Amino acid sequence: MTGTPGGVGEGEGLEVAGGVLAGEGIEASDNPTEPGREHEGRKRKPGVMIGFDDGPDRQTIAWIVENTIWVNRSNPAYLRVMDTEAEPYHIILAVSWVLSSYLEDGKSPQDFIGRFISSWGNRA
Amino acid sequence: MSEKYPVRIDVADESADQFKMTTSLAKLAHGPRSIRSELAYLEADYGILIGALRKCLANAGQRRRADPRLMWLAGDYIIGFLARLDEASFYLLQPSETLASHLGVAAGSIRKILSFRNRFPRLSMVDPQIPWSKYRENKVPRPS
Repeated sequence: MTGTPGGVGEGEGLEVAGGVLAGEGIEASDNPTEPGREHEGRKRKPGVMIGFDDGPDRQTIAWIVENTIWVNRSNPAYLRVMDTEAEPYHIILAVSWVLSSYLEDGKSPQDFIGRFISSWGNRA
Repeated sequence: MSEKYPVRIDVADESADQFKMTTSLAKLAHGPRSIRSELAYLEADYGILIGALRKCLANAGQRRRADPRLMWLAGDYIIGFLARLDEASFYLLQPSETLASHLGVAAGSIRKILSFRNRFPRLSMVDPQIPWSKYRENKVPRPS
């Protein structure tokens, strides 16, 4: 994915979080009382986040606030594809559309969206 | 080995205990199909958890001496939710702070409830005659 050099306004660039904050999680006891449950899996660090929200008055399919991309659940196009095979495609398109507005000067948003969608298509 | 994706929880509607959950964009690479419905389910689950915890803590607070079993129950609710998140390949960012902010209590209180619940995995191990303050400060030995 092409990098995101920063937002269009002050302080609107995409933040890359440094990771899970220290002091989180449940502390291990010095006197375990029962065998712990095995937690397999690597923890992904938070970076850019995605969520779903209603924006009936917005004309956009998605928007970004700080480091979170919100997919507009109220958009008629999304309502049409929700719970269908086309829903993932709509989400990918919405995300790539939002991210494409953060490209460096001279980079083509169309190319970026095309590559982003193709990359997803190849994985899927 | 499966990966765990972070979730952050924010208030959507405080009066209705409704929450908005977000996760890492990286989750898209592993099946965007289910993200919305997964998050919607977990948002509802979290709302139910917060409601149950409010009742639990309010009930404990109404008594002259908080019943440690109610605090055990609160911890059990939280652990159950965190386990369900884990099963769905998620983990909650800043769990104690998140819960504390939504419940209006200190994060340290949540940590103590969780520590207590972990030290006493079975409710039968908790003596209701012993005040919660003793359990909270880790001054009660576990029954052998």
